[in-house]
Amino acid sequence: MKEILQQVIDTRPDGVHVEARFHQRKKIEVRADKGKLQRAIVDDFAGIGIRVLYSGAWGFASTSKIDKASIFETFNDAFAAAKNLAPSMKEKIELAPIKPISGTFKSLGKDPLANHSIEERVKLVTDIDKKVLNADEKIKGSLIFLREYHNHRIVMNSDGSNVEVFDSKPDIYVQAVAHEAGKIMPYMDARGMCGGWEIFKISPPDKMIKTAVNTAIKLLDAPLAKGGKHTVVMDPKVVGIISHEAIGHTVESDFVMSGSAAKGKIGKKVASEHVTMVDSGEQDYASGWLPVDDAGVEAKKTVIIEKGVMKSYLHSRFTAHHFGVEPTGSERAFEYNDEPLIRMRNTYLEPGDFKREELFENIKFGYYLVSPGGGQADSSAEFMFSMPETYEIKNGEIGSLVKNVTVTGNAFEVLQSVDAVANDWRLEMGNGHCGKWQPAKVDGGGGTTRAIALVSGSVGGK
Amino acid sequence: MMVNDLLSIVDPFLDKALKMGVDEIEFYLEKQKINTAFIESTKLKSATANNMEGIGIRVLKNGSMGFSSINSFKKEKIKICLQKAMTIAKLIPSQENYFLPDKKQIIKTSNIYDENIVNFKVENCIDIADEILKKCYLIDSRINIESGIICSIEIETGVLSSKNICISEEKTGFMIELGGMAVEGEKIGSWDEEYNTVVKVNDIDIDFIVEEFSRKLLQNLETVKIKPFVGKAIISPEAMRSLFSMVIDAAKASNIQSNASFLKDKIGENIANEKLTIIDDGLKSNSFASSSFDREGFPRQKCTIIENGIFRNALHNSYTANKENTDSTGHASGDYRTIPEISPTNIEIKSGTFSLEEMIAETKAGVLFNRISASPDPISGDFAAVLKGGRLIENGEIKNTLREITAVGNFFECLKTIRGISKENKSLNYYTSWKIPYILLDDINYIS
Repeated sequence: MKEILQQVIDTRPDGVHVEARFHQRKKIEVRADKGKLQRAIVDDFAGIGIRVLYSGAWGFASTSKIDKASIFETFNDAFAAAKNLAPSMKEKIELAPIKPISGTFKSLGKDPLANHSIEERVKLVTDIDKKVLNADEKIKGSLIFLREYHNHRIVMNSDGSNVEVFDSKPDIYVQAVAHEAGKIMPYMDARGMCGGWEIFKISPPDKMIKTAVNTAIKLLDAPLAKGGKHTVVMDPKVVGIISHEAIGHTVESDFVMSGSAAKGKIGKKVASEHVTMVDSGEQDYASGWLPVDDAGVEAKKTVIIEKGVMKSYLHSRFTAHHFGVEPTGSERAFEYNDEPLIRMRNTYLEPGDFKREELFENIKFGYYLVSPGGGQADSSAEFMFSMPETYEIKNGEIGSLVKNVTVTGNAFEVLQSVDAVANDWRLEMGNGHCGKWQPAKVDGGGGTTRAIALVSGSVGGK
Repeated sequence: MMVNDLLSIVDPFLDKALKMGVDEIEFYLEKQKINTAFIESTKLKSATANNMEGIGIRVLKNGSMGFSSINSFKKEKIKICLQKAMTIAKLIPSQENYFLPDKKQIIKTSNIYDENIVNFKVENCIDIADEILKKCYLIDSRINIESGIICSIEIETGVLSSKNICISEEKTGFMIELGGMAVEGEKIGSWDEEYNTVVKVNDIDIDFIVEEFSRKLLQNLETVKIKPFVGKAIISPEAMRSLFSMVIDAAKASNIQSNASFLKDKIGENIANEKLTIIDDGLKSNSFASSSFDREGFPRQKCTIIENGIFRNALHNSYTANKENTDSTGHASGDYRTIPEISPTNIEIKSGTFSLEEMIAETKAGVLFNRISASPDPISGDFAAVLKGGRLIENGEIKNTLREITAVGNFFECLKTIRGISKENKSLNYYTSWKIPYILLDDINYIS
């Protein structure tokens, strides 16, 4: 395979930049609900994606046919696309130079997934499902979902990068649905990482079952939160989602160039001095692990905000050239037939000096946001996230669970209000995908963080 | 090679599998050709040509189902894929009611194929992208197209099963999708989008898409904050789609049977105001979302989901239908890489008798929803939605565009208190199509 890709690169016409990728993704999914196994599937998706830069224009083509003739035909299609686009390009694309990178990189975990059988997976999922349903008479529904990506990538480019990357990324979801007197309330606990079967030691299924069941039942009777601006203490998972969704996308330099809220903010104070935000592919146990991106650029640790001051965007080679900086190794393609886009990896706040318990002291009334649900954020940094697990804080103590909580606001305003970050740093946002035309596995987190945010609930704080 | 020809490559594997002791087997084949021009940061970004093909194999043995898929039609790869599916079927527990659908007569849908798309090339997509950029700039230089996709799509699908189903079909589509915001100095308006997908490239109305997109973005630029209040909501088709997706999800038999739907045990019951009727028509002519058969080769059809407020029919595939000893409704969905799920095709929420003008006129205090950013709970119906580009209505007049306003409520309860449905409607076409009016609701909590 590498030889063929190298031939494509070596025989390219003059003035052509080539990135050639092979990506095989094997996916395993096992799902059970309400006491029954619903699916066990295996998918094998492999192919070649070739991106060509010619006369300032990108062309891309892909194929699932992995033979020499088809690969060369794919190069020709990509080249033709670039040639057709070139005359219409007002701003010619130029690329920042890179130091080529070579090598083999692996993150398959301490207990590789490949050592475990489909049978084992089926038993695990069905056992968890049964336990959820039997946990309490109020539990009438369940959903257990195990998904694994097993990736093998080869990335080569005409600058000389030549890498092979192996990783596996499992996700496990445990949902309990509680019913009582016509009310229905679900709660889902989930975990994702880069690695192997040790995910079930790090996140024991019995603990996930307990969290899902107990929270779903408590939510049946939980009152609404008091709507309004409140002091909030955010668990690392919540810190991760705010960092990723509400800030992270605004600093992806394609969005910056479109006019996101981060435009023109390099060197400016955008958050409190307690906030240092990083995007990095270094953590090999996290879902956003990335040693080399899909353009063949080494993925560097990027400090986005340092002690409140914006330092860097996330760059492709093109935007790095445009802004006169180095690329950050942030171009990622989900599968072989996707074109690389600027994406995040593991996005987090650096740990602070406080102990976690200190963050709750002196809060007369506020909310403890433990677990985020879905949400969205704008290029203006306006965001909205549901927080299915939220507790009142009263006089420094964590109180009762409240329901239907959504946190909204402008992410930069929230970060400016941060007055404490704890030292209990962890990444815990690895399940699921980030969406931006195509999915991406990412992770996020930080230390528990205290700030001010707009919380939805009953109007007027009733 | 056409999918029709590929069915003949796959046919010998069907016999082989049956001889090896498989009870039932289904092959789902798919080929796609997609040419795309991308816009990014209000400039042309790239052009792509993607060809994809693959096969998904479902195998049943003693009621146990194994599934495997691969993106290749090479015989040795199909053989490996089949072996994996058979291995899985042997390992997993038997599931009651798991058997493939019988062959039924198919009614062919019409107008889902355009020869012009087949001849469409990447450079044609580039030309249209360029045209869109020029038109947006002429309307207003503050318009930023953060991202845009212009693509031509050809899809061929085929189903071959041991239940004598052997069928294939081709369809085409042309899609324009624009997302972005208006920017004026330091001011950044809320992100918004406009899109459409048609079968025939000549049916796309580029001017309408560009004008609607521009109007939404410019409207979002100047915003005001207000104090919390309780008032009416006039929900736009775009916002309706986000909220009514919950209702459609609740109507999927898979969710009902998993106790994850508020519609459980509610067939024949009144669950909404009598003004509300929702149908799904898989055979709708001239729609990209239509096809003659579903993911399992079962005939597409028209299905009344809610009729005058009464829940009439859940959406089924063959597995969920078998559990209830009823027929599939032809809603099996998914590509070759998944087992059949359930999805709608062409949803229509029937228009009403209220005009939008009347709705606005009768609203003393309320908000005209534009787009919402929400994660509604699909099981309980609770939602807290940030309204993007919501327009304040005071004493029957539209006033300012609002910033950072959140609406809170329970959508399933709102269904019963629908105050009015508009005569006007809008088609929102993507891989599923929606034809949706405006809806007027009372008593929504707004927080700002």
